[in-house]
Amino acid sequence: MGDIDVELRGVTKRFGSVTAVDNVSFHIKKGEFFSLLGPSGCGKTTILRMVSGFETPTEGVIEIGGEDMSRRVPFKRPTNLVFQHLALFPHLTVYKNIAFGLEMKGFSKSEIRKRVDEMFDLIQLQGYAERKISQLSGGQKQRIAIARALVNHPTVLLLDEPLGALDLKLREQMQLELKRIQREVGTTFVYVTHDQKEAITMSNSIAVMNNGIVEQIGDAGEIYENPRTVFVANFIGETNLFDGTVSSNGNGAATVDCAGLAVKVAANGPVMDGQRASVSVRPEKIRIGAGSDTLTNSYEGVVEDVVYQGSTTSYRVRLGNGRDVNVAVQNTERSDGFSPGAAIKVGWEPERGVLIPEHAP
Amino acid sequence: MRLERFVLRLWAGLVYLFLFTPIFAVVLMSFSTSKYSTFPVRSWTAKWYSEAFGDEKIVAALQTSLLISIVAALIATLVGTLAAMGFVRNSFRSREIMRAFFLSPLIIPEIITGIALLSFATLLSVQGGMILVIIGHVLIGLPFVLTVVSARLYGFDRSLEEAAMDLGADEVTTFRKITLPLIMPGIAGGALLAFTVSFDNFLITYLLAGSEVMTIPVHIYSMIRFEFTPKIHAISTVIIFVSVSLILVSQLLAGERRQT
Repeated sequence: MGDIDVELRGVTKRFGSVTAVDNVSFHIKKGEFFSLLGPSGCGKTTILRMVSGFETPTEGVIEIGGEDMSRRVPFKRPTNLVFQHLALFPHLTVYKNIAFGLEMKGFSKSEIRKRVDEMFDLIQLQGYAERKISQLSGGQKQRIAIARALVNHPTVLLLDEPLGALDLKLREQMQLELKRIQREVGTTFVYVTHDQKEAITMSNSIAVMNNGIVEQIGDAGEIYENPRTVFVANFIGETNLFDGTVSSNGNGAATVDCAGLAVKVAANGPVMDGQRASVSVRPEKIRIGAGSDTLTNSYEGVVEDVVYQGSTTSYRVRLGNGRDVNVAVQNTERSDGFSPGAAIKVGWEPERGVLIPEHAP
Repeated sequence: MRLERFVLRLWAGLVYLFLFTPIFAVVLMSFSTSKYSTFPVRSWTAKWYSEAFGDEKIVAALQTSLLISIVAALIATLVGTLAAMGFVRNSFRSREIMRAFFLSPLIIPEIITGIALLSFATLLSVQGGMILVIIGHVLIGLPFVLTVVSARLYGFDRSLEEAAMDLGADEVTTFRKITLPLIMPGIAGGALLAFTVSFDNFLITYLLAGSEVMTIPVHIYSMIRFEFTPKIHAISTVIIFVSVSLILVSQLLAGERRQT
């Protein structure tokens, strides 16, 4: 138990007849950068608000540092929250903003100064103490909000899409900044985001949420390479999904019959003949043209669309059965590639695909 | 285009002329040496001002007015602010009706409000006088406080309060350190309006005052009836000046930029 900071057991939250969070259980290890990832309305913010104490679970238990927090008021929890719109106090100086939490806890003036100064070093904004909040740029406000929360040495720092309002460049910069801060202080971070790239870049562990339930928990690689549900496969990155029925299986391999297309795939879990299933194949794992005709899954098709994207080129290929697949090719050397209308072959080995049975175990 | 603009400006000018000519005339007359309100003014003096402020009755009436207005404004501000918090922050079925009741003194003719209060007081066997006047003034000040404070509260970002609580402040501390300072301009603006409305009020005071409470508007009225003197112009000018300044300040407070 000692190395677990946050644990949710069977947590459900209903607002009237709407179930925002449905029987969710997971735990977060000490020092982890944990992301709750999902589309808006999936319940991720509700979970964050329950951990910070602004909502009370309808059912279930939330433990922080081994203590039951389910009914504890926000101002008595060892958590601090970085708000979506930051919620910096406009009538106080930067210094007073950061010192607020320590003043509430009755620290001495000298101790407060020491700890606030440490924060200014951490966020690299020395000399901004007496500024007003309205005099800061977006990125600076961001850092102040993080400092205001971290200065209290919370067991868990909660972040509610804090980078949402920033433009792309600044956003990427702040992502690295947040990573650095987390490495330096070693505090457990729980990060809510709808941006899968952000979650993949920053997290040790990601919980993908949809419709109030957790679809899958794992590190970025696991979630990308081994999606357990169709939703996860679609939401994290791009993919080609072949829906069909399992026509044969055994020896760790299965064949899914997808509208006349037999797709062979590696099967790790138990599946039965006749079961509905999908095969997910990432665009960059499909080969196109030379060498693809010797692969186990090899199909003829016609190039429909070519989109040059700098480091990669993306092809949309229509297969014989009328299905489109997307293929991404690394532009390792400058070549002309294929033009729309070209008849080519695409293919991949069975272990490049992921078998997702309809009722995921 | 140019003609259009010219006509618009002319029209605006005429409206302002219509609004302010009488007031301007009073100000002008208050500096005239003539005992009668004649135009044009032949020579200028400030003696009516010194006479007005040397008049014990006027000074006493001013003091009574100040006392009543300050007390009424304070009570109206307290009640109105709490009501605004209640209306803005809670949703209940009768909210709109309740709010309309609060605003009704704006719409119901003052004379009716006055008579209603008077009959109510008689019912309770309370004599007319200072307390009744203050109650009446609180009533007419409330809608102003409610409106101005509500506007401020609607623009208030509640996540600021959550942030304070997240940082360890309990409800009372959060209100004291975050909510109150941030809605203060609204409260002060509402208080100034309530003060002005009370200070300028004639009708309700006249109905409820009885014989011993003499506010400055009521006193001016009795002066007009018994002995007309330019002192009235002088004191009126002072009242105009104070009222307009207070309203300007309250407008500034209400419009103060909200920072996020």
